[in-house]
Amino acid sequence: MKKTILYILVVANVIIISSCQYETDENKNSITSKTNKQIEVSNAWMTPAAKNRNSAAYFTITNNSNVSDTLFEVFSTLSQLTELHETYKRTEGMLGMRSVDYIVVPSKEKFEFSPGGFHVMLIGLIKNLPIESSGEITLKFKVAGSLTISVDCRLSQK
Amino acid sequence: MKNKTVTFPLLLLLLLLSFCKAELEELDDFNSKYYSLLNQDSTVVEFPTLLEGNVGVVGYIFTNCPDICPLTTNNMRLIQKQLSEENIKGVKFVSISFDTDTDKPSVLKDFAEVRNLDLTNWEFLTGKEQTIKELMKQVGVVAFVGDSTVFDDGRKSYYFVHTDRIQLIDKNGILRKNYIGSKIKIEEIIADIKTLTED
Repeated sequence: MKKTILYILVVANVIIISSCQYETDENKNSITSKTNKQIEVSNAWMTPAAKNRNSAAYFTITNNSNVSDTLFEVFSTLSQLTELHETYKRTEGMLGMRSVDYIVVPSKEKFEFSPGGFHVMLIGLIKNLPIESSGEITLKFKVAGSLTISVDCRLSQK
Repeated sequence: MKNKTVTFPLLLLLLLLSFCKAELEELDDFNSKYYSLLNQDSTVVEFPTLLEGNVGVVGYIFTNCPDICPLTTNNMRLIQKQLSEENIKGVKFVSISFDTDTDKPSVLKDFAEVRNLDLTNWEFLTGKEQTIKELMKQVGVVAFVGDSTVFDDGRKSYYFVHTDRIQLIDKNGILRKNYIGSKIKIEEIIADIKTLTED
């Protein structure tokens, strides 16, 4: 009798734990889904580059939410390091590049990552990134959370 | 009165058209010094001798550049494609790297291959540090190391601050025009090339 009660308790615990786990996963999915509605990323593409060299990814972020959001971290398995970068003008006809810590996207506005401006820098590519290949980049926002986007490799903007 | 109304705009139009076909100035003679360089196949070549009586479209790059230099290179590809479509011959393309530490011939070859570039009339060049320094001074391109990124193992990926430039050199090795490499207007340089190839 005791064995049966113990068995029932163990089974009940397993059911409760597994359903808790399920609920957590459900919450995770709903957060992701919300994120996609709040932040939209479109027109993503990146430049081709050889293994060990660097590529740049460009896209448009649209913040549909009622609050400003901040892109503070980027990650990709395509490269050894992934950073937010900006190309800037020095003196006449001279251009340089520097890393930036974060990018603020105001509520109901768009932010363009485009050639000659802001870009996600894929530093030290793990393998060749030829034309028509693709990969994923994860963007981390303070409010909306993480968003993983698919990026196509091509020579120029469409 | 009616004649005058038509004549004036017509004259103005002719005047504007004559300006459009303005002669390309001779800006600098690149024949005063020859530079021994290596191309993407490790073959020794001499600049500007390698142009061999062709019009030269010359860009200045470093392969670790992810943003501006790929734009410049892609613009050169578009120029090459347009010339091919219009069957305009007698033009050579040259991309010279100012990053002598990283851009060895094999690196330049990889840079071209991953972009499917047509190298039949296009060479990627590198050279000894001193040679490249002198060459950059002659062609008026400034390049120096700016920011860098440090990998976990201590390696550095450094980025040049540099002049964003494509140059047009005539059949005699004379510099005829400077363009902003990443923002060049393809129609403009095509028109200039036509002027020089027809000379």
